[in-house]
Amino acid sequence: MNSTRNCAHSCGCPLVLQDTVLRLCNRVDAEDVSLSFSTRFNSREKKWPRTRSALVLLTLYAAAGAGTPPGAKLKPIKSFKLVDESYLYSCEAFLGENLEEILLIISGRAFSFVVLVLSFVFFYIAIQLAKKGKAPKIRRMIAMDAIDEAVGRATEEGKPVHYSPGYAYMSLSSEQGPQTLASIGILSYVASLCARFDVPIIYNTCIADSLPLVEETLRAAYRNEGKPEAFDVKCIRYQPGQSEYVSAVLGTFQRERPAVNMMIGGLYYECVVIGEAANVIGATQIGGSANIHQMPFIIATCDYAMIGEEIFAGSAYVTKDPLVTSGIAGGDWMKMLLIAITVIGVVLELAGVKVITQLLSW
Amino acid sequence: MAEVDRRVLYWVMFIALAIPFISPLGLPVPITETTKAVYDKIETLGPKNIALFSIAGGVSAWPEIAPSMVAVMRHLVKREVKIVIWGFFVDQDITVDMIISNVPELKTKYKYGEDWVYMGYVAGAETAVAQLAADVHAVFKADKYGTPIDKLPLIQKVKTAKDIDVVLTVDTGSYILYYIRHWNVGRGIPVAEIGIAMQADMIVYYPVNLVGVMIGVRGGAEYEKLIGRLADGTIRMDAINVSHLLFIIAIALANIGYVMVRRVKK
Amino acid sequence: MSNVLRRREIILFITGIVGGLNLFEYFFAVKEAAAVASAIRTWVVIISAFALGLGIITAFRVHISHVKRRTKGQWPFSIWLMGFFVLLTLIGLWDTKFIVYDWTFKNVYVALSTTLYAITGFYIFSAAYRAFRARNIEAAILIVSGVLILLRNAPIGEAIWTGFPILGEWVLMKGQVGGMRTLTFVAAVGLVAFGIRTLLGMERGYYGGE
Repeated sequence: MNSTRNCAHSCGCPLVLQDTVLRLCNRVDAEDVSLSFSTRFNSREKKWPRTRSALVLLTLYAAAGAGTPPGAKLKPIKSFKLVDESYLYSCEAFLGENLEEILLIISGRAFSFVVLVLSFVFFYIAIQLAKKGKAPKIRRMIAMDAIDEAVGRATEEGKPVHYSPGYAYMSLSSEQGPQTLASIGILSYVASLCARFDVPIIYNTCIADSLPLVEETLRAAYRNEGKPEAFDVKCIRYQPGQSEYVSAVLGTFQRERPAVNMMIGGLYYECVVIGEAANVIGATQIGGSANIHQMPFIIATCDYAMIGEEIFAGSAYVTKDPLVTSGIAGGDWMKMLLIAITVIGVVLELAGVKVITQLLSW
Repeated sequence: MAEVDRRVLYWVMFIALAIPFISPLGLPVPITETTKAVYDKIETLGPKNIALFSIAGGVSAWPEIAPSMVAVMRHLVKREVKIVIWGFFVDQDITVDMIISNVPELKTKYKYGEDWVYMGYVAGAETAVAQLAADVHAVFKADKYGTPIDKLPLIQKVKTAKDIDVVLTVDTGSYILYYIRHWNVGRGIPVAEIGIAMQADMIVYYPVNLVGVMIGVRGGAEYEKLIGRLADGTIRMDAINVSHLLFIIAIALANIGYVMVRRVKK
Repeated sequence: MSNVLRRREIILFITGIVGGLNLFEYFFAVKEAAAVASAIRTWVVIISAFALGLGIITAFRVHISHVKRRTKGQWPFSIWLMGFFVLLTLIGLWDTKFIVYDWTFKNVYVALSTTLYAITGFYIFSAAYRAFRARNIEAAILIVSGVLILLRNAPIGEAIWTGFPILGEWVLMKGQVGGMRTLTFVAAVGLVAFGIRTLLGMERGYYGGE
């Protein structure tokens, strides 16, 4: 580890530091094992604070990252040593072989881990703000607000509400699973309204492993509205396949003529078929999916559409609980941070500085 | 013109689509770069290479992807590339039977177990794709027909993703992303997609990770032209042409009707 | 007992533990965690397989009630469905290569599946006719872009004018990329936020939480 130490020394003077950074960029490569800097400090300052040392080291490290040749990996900082002598302060950072050796983090995922930790931090901050009565404001979600109006329409017409979560690869454990869970969260609210106004609800699905969740969600909704006996488990209709599910929904529309059709979840080609069939019978439609390839069809066929992440925010939005909606704000702050990193990364990349690219692949 | 009964629209569409099947138009099919890239990649392979043919699309998507599947399989057989087949859809056996019936060389020229194997269905979506990349033998103990893997010389050579030279994933949704994440990123295995029309823009998001994308019926028609054997894809392209033209005419008529109605209301 | 099992705390505890473990396993190279997470993922596959049986029971429950109530226009089809289901299940368990099973699967199931998929084309046609009206500038840009891509996809576009594929290619490969990537990015972050809310127990709807 201590072989071939290629140390770059600098004094605290900014000009020399700049020179050091430049020399470092040309000389640090995958073989180098340490970075160091030393500085003379003025007699009025006895010590350099640790924070400032760490910041300087990080700057050098970032500069080294910028200068790392393509294909070579910048080694992570394993430890650093402070040497405090009279009028001389030096700091050396020893680089480890790889990140797994130091922190057990799998290579290529460290930045994602940092982002995840920051997400939790943002959530915590948002929740604390909500507890103090300063909950961040969430914009109106028109599609979610339209649910009340739609169920009201179904009540007036005396027709059922139809709800379906889409194909979603027919499994909760697929990558579409979170969309199905989000859909069930929104179903809980819809079911409460249906129970309150005595509107029948029809739930068609082809996702077998969601059935217990759906049944419990509907049962709980009716129970919370004080009408447990009104819940009929036969409102949940399962079909073991995408085409079967589509044809079942088309048949439901023709026979039972629901006033409202809601299709929220991992939608695929069925959204245009079901959407258009619902238009034929004149049903109000609310649709939403995070599958971007279905966006055009949802917008073309539905009266109210939820685009992308709105379905994930939907179930939190309808609770109107500040603690829960503050979670949406926490997610938005994370989004803003990532956008800022993206913009900075693009600018730096255009300038030939690859520090953000290196950071992302860390 | 602004509001035409749907049934009229459906009849017009049906008749318009039926005409090319009765009397083909024979319009030329230009080759796109994305399909050519897949062809060029397979052209670099030979008897010493192994291709993975992953079926992640159901029989309902045959109208779009069957011509591409058959054309690519014909090309692989022509280049004498070894082929490993597995899939993630419960009805994939029918798809494999369809491919075999259209590419009889798999039975006549190729020897099962040495030149090609069909490993069967694997459950688990992305988890399964990730596990297969790490250890194929941990997932498959036998092939579709129950033959243990130690009796199949080809699959004996395929232990991890690194033993595969190209992944051809027949895909109607997200499996291409699983293969990119677990086979291409980190392991560097080239991945190509045989997909439906909705995945036309996949190459835009993954220009570095994807070798190429064959898009819907057009991809099949282009590939047939490249391998010099015109088949279903080329026949269906005429229907594609007619349907697309009909769409444009319908949209134009709808907008003309809309504008006229607005003028009358004013 | 069932009320105890339904307690919210148990559900949140299991969700948190399983979710946290899988997250930990994804980021940290700890062999023991990887082994446990892999075992849990295998259990998920097994549970999904069992859920298929649950789904069949749910379907039968609905159709038996239709038969009992003699629901008009429905009950003969319910008998047909249940009868066919039982028959094909028994034949399939006996021999999947048996001619009846094989023929039904290839000539009935495949034909019906492809028909349903093909219906999409007709529905898209009527949806496009109904919805693609140039009500404002944005809608007009959408329609023009869509037409260019249609002409790019169909060889007839190039036969009409060689510029159509070039313009369509530009719209597909460059024009819409920024917007679609934004949607993908935003949906992904929203998904992460949803996952964190679920792990923290802030999402209660999906399990019928109170």
